[in-house]
Amino acid sequence: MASGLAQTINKVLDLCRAHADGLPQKVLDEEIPDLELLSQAINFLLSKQKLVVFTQGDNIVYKEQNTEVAVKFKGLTSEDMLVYQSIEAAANQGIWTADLKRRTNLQQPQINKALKNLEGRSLVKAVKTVTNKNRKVYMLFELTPSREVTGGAWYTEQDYDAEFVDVVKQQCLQFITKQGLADLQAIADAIRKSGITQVELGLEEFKQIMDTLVLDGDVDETMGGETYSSDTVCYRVAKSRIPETSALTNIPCGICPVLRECQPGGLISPETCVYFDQWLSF
Amino acid sequence: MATAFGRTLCCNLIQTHFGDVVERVVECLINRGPLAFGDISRYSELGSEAVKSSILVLIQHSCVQAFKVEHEGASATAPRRVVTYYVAISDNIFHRMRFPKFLVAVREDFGEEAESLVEGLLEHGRLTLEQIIQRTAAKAAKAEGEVANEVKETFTKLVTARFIERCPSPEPWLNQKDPRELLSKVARGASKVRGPVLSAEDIVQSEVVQRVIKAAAPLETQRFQLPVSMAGLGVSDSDSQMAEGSQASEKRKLEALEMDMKTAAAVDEKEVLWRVNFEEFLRKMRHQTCVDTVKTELDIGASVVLSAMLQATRKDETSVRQHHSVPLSMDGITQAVWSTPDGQHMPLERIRSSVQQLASDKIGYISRAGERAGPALGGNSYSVNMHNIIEARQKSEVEGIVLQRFGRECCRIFRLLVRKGQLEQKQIGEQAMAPKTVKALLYCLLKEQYVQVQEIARTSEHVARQSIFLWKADYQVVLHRVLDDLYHAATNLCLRHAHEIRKEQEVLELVDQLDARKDAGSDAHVTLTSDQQEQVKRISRITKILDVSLLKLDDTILLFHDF
Repeated sequence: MASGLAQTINKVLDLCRAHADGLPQKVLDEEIPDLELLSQAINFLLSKQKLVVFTQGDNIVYKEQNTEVAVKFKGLTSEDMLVYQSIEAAANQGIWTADLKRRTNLQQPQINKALKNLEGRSLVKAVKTVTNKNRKVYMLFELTPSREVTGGAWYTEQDYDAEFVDVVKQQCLQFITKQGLADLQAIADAIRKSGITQVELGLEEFKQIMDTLVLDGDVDETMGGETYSSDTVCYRVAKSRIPETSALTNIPCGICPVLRECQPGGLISPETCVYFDQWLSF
Repeated sequence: MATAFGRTLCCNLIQTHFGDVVERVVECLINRGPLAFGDISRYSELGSEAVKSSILVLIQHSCVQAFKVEHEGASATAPRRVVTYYVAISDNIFHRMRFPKFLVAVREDFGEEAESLVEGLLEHGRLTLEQIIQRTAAKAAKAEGEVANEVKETFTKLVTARFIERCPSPEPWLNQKDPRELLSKVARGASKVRGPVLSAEDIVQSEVVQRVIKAAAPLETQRFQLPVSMAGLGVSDSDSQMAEGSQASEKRKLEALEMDMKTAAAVDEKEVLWRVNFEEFLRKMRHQTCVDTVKTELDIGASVVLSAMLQATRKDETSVRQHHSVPLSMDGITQAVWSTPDGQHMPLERIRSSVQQLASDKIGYISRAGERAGPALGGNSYSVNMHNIIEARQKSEVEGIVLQRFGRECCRIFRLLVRKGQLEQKQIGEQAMAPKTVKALLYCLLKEQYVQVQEIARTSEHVARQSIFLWKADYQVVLHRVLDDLYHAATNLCLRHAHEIRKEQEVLELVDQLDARKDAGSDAHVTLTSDQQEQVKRISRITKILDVSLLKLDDTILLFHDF
């Protein structure tokens, strides 16, 4: 019986090697009609981490684990593997422990143990996210966290670096003022050359900066002009800024925080208004 | 279209100009819509005599318009009854705070005599030509005959420029549906909600006012028709020339005509009432705003061209809120520019490039109207797109207000929402580059109703955690929000002004007495103490600040409400 099992195991492995892109269950069933023996062999191989199971559509497919990987996973329990696979599926987005629990149907202590094992072997790592400060997500050790997790170039140590953004904005604005008209590439090159930042800023980040400058009313977007072709988006200093003063906001009512509660004869009223007193007495 | 605080301001203005009794009548009319005489006296709890004189004053000053409505009898056989209703014209009431601006405008164009003539009309509401002459004579302490010709000349100029007009019909028929029925239909539910946004009631009410004004307005040809006696002085010059050249056989006819004209002239001078045409003043100020905008956005050359175009087509505008001016060909524009003092030395090339500049800008100050005319006929026609210019101006004003009231980042978010429509909070945070503060900023804007939030529930239980919340800025709502704030601020300025005056009543009275004594020539033994002098100085400074602020604020109200 034991030799029969050994034979079957070898046969399964051979079949796997023959079907490099995955051995379907159907082929196995045809080659090894003895179901009892087959299931024993597969269970043995799976427990030794020599075989991995996939699903392709409705079919179950087997593959032989290559030796390197087999070494990496040697000694891991099936629970560890389950956790590992869930983390692997999350790719560079990472996965939170609560989600892990839901995905694997394991108890929290089991997951903690598995994570400890995996982290000890440098298979996975914990990364802090910007969206939820005190929440850690796990991802494979060799991956770099995605922009959603780190927040992109504008975050240092999971904190939004408003000062840094302001500096870059000012630099961009200065460059455009000096240049008159510039496209995104020219702006990016100039800022990178100026060396105000060690952080690698992509065109995408510069686009973001320019969009905010446009929204602030500091620069205008135009199509082409001067040396640029007419289908490149260019930026120039805005002709008309958002007005700094207006008749309404020049009087206290325009910026009054309690304007809604202000009523003639009410608790807050124009006759007794302290803002008016200040305004009229300077 | 007056907002909640617009109504308060109306009442306030009337109170300062005409006193408490008249204010109560206006308050009823403004808040309740068109009313019959009996209703007014019932709601205002005033005697019919007091109501009658109040309404007379108000009609004299074009603040109230009467109109007749024919009601069906109770039964088919019952006779129809005619009821006269009165409706307040809030726009004209607001114009009362702009009188100084009107006077300055007319002085710029026609000099001081015209100014004093218009001043008389503004002071008295409506006057006949005879009364105008009498008033001028009394002021100059001269005989009527001496000033008559001069006054008539100024008068003709003003009528030709449409700054004064014949009064509308005192009591027109409104033969469509009963406006009160129309009102009560929506008023039931809507009257409770007195938000800043126009309620349905306001809209219907302003519709009624528009209809009444339209019914009362004289025909466009009659509106600016000069009195018969002065027809020769003004526009209809050609008529009298034709009469001179007529054949002898028609002489008798002519004599009869002259007789007629003499009596007609007397009637015209004594009976036809004239008033200031607010519309023309508004048009002038609206044009000025457009020109100023172009001057700051582009350059002086462009503003000269625009101003010339507007002047040339001014006569053809039919409403104050005209979207486009009448198209003008390139030749027409050139002629118009050369006929203005500022543009008379402008080279053709410069004019062309300015027109090009105006047309190609993304605001679209002027637009090409049709391609009918070939190059031989002076090329394309252009019309001024006033609507665009005013809208751009309003937009920059709104953004300025948001910027100063809520700060740079809120302004950025507001502009983002206006451009993009609806966004989620997270998207806003990313695109406005304020991921940490976005929640607080959005709440600030939401509280003051500059943005709205909409829940899109994914479950029928409206579980907040699973719903999507979309933020948006409804520009029309914001415009009304700003307008209401403007009215509120103006009301506050007026109230504070009155309050300050009341506080210093005693000293001011003393100053008046002293002045009176000085005028009478008697030696003033009493002088003000240093404290009192200080008080007088303070009050004059404060009132100056308040007055100037109100005038500036009113410029913005004009921009948002009348243009």
